Amino acid sequence: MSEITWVKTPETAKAAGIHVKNRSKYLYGLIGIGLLAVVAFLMYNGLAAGRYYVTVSELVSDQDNIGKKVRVAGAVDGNTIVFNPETHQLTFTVVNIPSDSDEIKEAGGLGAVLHQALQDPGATRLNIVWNNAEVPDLLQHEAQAIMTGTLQEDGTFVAEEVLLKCPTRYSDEVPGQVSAQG
Amino acid sequence: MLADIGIAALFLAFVAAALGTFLALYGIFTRSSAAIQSARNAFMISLPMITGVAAVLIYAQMTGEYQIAYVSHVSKDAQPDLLKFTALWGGQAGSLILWTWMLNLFLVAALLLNWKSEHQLMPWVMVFAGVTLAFFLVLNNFYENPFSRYWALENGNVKEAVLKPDGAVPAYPYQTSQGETFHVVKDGFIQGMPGARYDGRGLNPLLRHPGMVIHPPMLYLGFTGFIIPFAFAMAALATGELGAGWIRSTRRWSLVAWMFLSLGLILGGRWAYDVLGWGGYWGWDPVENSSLLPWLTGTAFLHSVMIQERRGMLKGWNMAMIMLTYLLVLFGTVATRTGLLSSVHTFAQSPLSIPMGIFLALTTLVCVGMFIWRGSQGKFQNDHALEGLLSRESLFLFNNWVFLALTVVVFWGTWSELITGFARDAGLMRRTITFGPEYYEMITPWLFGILFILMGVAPLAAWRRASAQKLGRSVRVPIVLTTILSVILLVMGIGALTTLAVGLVAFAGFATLVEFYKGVSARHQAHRENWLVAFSRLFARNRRRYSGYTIHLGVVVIGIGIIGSTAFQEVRQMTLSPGDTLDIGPYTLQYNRLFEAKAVDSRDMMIAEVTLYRDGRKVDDLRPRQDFFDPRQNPMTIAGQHSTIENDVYALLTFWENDRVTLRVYRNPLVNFVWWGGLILIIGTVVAVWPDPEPETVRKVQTMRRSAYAPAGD
Repeated sequence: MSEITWVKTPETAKAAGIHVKNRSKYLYGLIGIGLLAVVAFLMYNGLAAGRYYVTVSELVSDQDNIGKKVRVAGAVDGNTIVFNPETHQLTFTVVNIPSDSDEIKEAGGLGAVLHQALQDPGATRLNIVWNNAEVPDLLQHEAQAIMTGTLQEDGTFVAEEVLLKCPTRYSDEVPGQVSAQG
Repeated sequence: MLADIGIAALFLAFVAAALGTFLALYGIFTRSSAAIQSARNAFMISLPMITGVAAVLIYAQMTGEYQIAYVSHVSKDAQPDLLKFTALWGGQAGSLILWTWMLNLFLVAALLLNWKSEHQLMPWVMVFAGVTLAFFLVLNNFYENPFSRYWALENGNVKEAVLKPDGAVPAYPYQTSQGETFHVVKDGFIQGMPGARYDGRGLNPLLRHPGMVIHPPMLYLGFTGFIIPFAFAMAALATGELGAGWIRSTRRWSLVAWMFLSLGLILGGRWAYDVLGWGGYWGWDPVENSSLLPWLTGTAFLHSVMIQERRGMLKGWNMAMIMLTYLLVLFGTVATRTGLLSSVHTFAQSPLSIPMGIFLALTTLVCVGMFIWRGSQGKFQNDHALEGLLSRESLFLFNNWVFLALTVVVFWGTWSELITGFARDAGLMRRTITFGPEYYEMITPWLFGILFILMGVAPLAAWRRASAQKLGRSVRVPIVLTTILSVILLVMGIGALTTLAVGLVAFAGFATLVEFYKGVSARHQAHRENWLVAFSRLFARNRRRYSGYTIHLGVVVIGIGIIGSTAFQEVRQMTLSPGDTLDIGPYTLQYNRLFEAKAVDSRDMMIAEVTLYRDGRKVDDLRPRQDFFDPRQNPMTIAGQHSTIENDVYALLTFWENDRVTLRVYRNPLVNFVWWGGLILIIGTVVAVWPDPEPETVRKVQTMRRSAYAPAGD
């Protein structure tokens, strides 16, 4: 297996890339294309697992959304959180928040957006039902809930996965006023 | 005063790093070795500067300098000392300091270790690592200065600023049940409120866990560690010295970074398992994925680089892979730091996204530009061509393709939300697409399966050309063992897909074990050594090869753990009154009572006392609980765990009403294999990167001699 007897082939004179002797070139190509095809097939299949991101308003305004798996984000109304320990069903209501990042920035950040959304009596609301649920630590008033699930005929949203964020808690950007006694 | 020292040191560190980079460039173009030497000194000086910055910040956290906004966000008086210390990486600004410090540490280590051996490359290494260091110091100084303080202005408003605004006096935060207020302080007490002492907000409860003490630093070491191999690669491109030198130093440094990255990933999994309370350790969360991506390409690189060392092939490919790894590190940093991706653990939206985005774009441009430039000069010309489809070179190349495929799959899943978000804004798509765990669970097992086959076969294949017959002979024993195991599993009634998964992983394991056996028994017979001596000498003589096999074994053990805990996991949730029981697998949990307690760090705990029985015999007491740090904060659910080799029972207290509790219980079979496999993997890597006792040249000659007789050698 000494390497000294090795003779360079003309192909190796090429500039860059992977060099293969002619006769097996096709085989490598075939394996490469095969792998690509497998990955493309798997990823195409994977698209079925993709979820469309919609706002609460978009979700409820379009009848087409009923029964489709979507991902929706909203501000949690803390007064509506109910866990039924007998049925293990968790229900709560979320309020529409904008999805556009520029809009959120203009309104003063996610914390401010969540706060304002819950003050607005005219905002679109959505009732969430989560079956066989645990009660997440972060589920509280003014948390951002990102939920995956499907909208039902009766207008409730059955969630399969709930992701929560509490932006106000640890990242206040702007401090307030020196209090009166100061 | 304290903060002023920190601010000054941080600025001087930036000056030193910028100067060092400039001097290195100047020295290269004027061929001035004095300038190069000065550049080296500049980076040697910036390190103690940043160390000083970190020390000042830690001191402020420990002593409660809550006028500093960062300190008040991550520390408070009641916090235990260890957590006051580790609060350095409990938030954005502080962890960026740690990040910069590590970058500089790696650079200094490379300057000390490689200065002589890679003399030609070092000036350029300083340029590329120096630019990065200076960039992060810009962020530290001008975007996320950890010494930004609260000031009370004359009009009564409170402002956060690094430097004292005109006429302002220091303001200190005070925590009330409604939130935070700001006050002017005299003699440590708040004016007008007798006895009231100012205090910080304290660390996010989720971060108050031992795993959080070491997980972020390890991950950061893994991320920042890739700067050195990247800088060597870029230096090689800049000088055109694309021979063996850069590969030699790069491989070792990549292995170091890879080890820390692996450790960071494993510890992160452990933290998620213990703290996040969903019974799992990997959730395909965007931030997790962001650290997995460079791990995938880094692993690919560590394999393909051997082909270049040994046969002078895949030169362009290797260059591309190390560049890609580093760019993915930057991508991951941007993802984690800027809150661009929806994830459980991103930092808050921050002003960093613009400078970081620009830096990422520039780095990518420079990489692509230099790659094309040297490529068009024919610098990546390979010494040999690929020959046999079953040769080790080819199999390693296929392994790289699969790793790359995994990278593409994970990258798309992670960034689709952002990419399709842009497409939607541009009017190309109607909606934004995101992917959850089921996407990854659908695709990645197949690709990992191929990798396990290659892991078993590739190390046995000969270089250059391998006949199918010969290769078949060497995998005969592992295949027979795997077949036996699979039949047993099927007879036991385990599903076909699970059996297939176990079979693929086990095949790689058997193949590796057989290699160990062959090596040890050959020594045992030839040198009449006892088995233990033969085993340790085998390692000593072929360290790279057998440490690689050890890492493979670690991966196999992790694989078994993942299959076990995914395919056989059981979950049950029940609401129980005292005395009620819940059955899961062979276990019975009896709920006894619910009680309140206070921990030493003043957190309140609600604890459910549960007795665990197995087949009717008591095996453990579990205490699933919820911790409350203060009324304004979220509770934190801590699982009650019972671990054995075979099973983990993992009980969560999810809800209670009077003395009735809702328990969620998981049985996670074989989950401990994940941690043990991780340990084996790390041990193998430590052995691999351990410095050579003999000079490199001697070792090389020996390797070459050995290789003449051992076609299947390292």
